[in-house]
Amino acid sequence: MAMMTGDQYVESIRRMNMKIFMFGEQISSAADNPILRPSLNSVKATYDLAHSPEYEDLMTVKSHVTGKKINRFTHIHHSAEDLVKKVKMQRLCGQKTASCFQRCVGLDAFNSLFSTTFECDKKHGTKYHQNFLEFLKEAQEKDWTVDGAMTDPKGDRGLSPGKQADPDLYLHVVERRKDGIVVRGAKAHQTGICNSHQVVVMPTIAMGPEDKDYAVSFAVPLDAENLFMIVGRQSCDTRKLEGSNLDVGNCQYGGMEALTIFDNVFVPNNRIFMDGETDFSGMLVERFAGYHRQSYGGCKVGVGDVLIGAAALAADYNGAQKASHVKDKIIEMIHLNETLYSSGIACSAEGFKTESGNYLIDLLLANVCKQNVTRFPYEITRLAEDLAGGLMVTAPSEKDLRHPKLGPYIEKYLRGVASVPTETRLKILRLIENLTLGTAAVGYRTESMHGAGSPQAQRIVISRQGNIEMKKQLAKAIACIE
Amino acid sequence: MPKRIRVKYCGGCNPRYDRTAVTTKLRAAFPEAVVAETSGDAPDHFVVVVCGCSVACAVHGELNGRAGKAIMTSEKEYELIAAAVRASLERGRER
Repeated sequence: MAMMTGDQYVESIRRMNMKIFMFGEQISSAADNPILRPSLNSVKATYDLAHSPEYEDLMTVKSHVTGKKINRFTHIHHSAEDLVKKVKMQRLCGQKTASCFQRCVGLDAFNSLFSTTFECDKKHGTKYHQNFLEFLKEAQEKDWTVDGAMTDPKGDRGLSPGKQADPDLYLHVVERRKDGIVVRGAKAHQTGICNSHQVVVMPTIAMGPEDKDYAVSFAVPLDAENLFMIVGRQSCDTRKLEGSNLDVGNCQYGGMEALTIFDNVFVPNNRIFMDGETDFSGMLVERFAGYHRQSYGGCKVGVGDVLIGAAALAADYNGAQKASHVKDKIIEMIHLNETLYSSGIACSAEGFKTESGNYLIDLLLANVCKQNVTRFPYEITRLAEDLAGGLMVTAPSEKDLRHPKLGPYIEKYLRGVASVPTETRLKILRLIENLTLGTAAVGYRTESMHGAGSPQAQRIVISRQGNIEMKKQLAKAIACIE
Repeated sequence: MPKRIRVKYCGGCNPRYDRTAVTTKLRAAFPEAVVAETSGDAPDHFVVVVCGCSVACAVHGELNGRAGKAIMTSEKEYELIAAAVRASLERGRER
């Protein structure tokens, strides 16, 4: 099976025996939980869209491993065009779900591991690239969703992994056996992990020789023994338990995150992609972060498209669409959103071939892209709230709207233009609320800030890649300085 | 045997018009042909590449109609595309 349908994907997740905890209780599967199901639907969309003729040009591609048609989310980029199409695919998925569709971390892990394992093997004579290729082939054949897990809890940020008071604050190898390794630690903020078939673990920072046990990368299934997840709360999450489609804003799609614990998890030898090669830890981190910072120039733009559309509709429903300041605010939102897209496309178009043959984005432009993402969605949400008006946070519930006595009053007093039913107006305001301060704000706001690395992480790369000496020479030449 | 008009879409990341409406219109305009969105066993008589914007990034190198191929990047081009399809079907009838 090279490509699953959305329904097949859901069943494949339901069949897994994951250990997921939420509100102090174990739940059976995201597929059957009202809080998690919308997040599963977002991943499901990546399968459904791949089977649609009008989207397959972005969603599918020919595998360089098997020659078969595969979902682009399992692809190794072999040209700058592939990188561009990745960003376009992400914009599309953002537009269709208005949330984080969770599948890009795996894609970014695939591509960073493809080149890093190749170069590591070349230097150290290891066999990680072959291990990775076997894993990749299976991921493509089975059309897996794979979580890319990088972020360790990190404890005291002033101390290296091995110097932490608790050695488990960075995931590490605790035992080496003939047939594999045993690892212990945790990965925080794991988006979409309970909707994934496998998790690929990578180190979170560049390591020194003293941190050999922490320089580890591998893949295990999400129902591996001694692996469990504790789901994070999202603002307004329990509205999903109230049975109101209107009040949740986006009743179909969403995202999820979890603290994922590896409490002595066994990893067989053929699934190990790094074990102790500390000199390649930094490369893997930098490449994964680079790809993931590129990703945000697509996915957040797609979500932004929905928010801009919602803000414009809110203005229409308020009868304010002709006011010059309203038009100008929408223009500003579009300008900011397309600026994000520009840098996503630019870092892809300037992509280059690695020693392994796959393509890597331009690191400077990818980091500029993500740096913009740490800012512009906040301004876009501010403008959306401005255009929506205060009703987006003061509107009564759906229960009140349906109430025989209260409903007519809500219908009467909360109507905007006469031609648009009050319920329609409330639906769009709830969507804006969802994106700006509800469950989807996790993905659109704070994830824009910290996902794929917090702002300072990009500034470090921008400083390193910025070519400042060349700029000084340019200035000297113009100023006639010898 | 009815001639096959193959419609190939771009990926649709930011289309400026409803691309699927082109297929609907082609089906209505050419009931004597099979307007298909996917490849089939029979050879394609004509290929229409429907792109949502002027970037025209659809991959269509491997798709070639016996009577030709046309690429559409704007809604305004529909009549030209339909004329090209019509001419190709008429040429096919003459033979």
